[in-house]
Amino acid sequence: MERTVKRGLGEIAFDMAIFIILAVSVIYTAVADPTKLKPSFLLTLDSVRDIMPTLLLSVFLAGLADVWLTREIVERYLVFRSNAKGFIIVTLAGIATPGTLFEVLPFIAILRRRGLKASSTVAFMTGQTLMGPMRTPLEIKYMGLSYYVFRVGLAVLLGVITGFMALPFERWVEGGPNN
Amino acid sequence: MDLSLLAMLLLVGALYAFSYKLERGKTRLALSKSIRMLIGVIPIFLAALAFASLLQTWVSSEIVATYLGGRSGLWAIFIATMLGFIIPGPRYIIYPIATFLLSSGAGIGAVTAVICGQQMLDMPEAAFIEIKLFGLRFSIIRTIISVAAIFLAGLLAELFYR
Repeated sequence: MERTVKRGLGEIAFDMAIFIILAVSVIYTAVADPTKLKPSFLLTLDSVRDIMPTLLLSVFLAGLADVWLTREIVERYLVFRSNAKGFIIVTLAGIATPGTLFEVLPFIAILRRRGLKASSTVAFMTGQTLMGPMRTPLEIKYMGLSYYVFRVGLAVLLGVITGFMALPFERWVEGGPNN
Repeated sequence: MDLSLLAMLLLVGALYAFSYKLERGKTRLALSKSIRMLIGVIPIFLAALAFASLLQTWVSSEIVATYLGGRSGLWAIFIATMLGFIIPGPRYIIYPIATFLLSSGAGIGAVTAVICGQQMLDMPEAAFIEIKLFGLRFSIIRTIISVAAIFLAGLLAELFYR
């Protein structure tokens, strides 16, 4: 009971902190350079319009996963071994997953609650953020094919390294709130 | 509507239809869980986007170039890692900035660190949602590990990319 109350208060404090940071930033901008307020408001509207539809679909997909994906299924098929091969597989899965981190976070959160390890999650997020199918043409256009190939190799290597780096902290992370 | 969104809409719709056919109760539960998650996430999502947009009007590519133009080596990679941290906006905006930096004389290590930093940390938008869904401990560890990995990426690019 006490733990539930503490977690509730922690979440409320976190939500409040975000709105306080936003309020302070808006006030600072209004004082320092009020001309930046309108463009940033328009940028926010653009971002909401771009991201909101996918975020909505992602949350509804996460809701379905929450109901159907049992811990047994996740442990049997999706909990990868904490070794180089396991981290390579999970990093490649991340690289192949389209969308922004924003959009995939609700789904990964459900997998975490069903037993996906912190180290595998970190490796997946490394792959998902560093490379993406939608960004491939842009990266090749701006940086060239050889640089793109180098970055794919780098992304896989970093996925494995970050997975191993997260291993010693797994117990500490699993002991925190939201787990 | 773009193709990827349409494909995702069809996929989610088909999965819900299939789930409804299998078990109506579970599908209703999935819907109510989704709505509860949305209620929790949407205010943070809007606040995070508003903050990121505000930051974007303050941090321009010219500011980034001022700090990185013509620099290479370990110190440049370190500065690039920190700059990548604060460059907001969608991930694809970093490529024109990266070519601009290369043409300004920045080293490939520093440019790689900026690209990886902006993409890997996804600050500040995703960080707020990440803390909300995964907890503060997970986000702290991922951020520290990511910063180390970005620095390493810059170093490897400086040493091995020709």
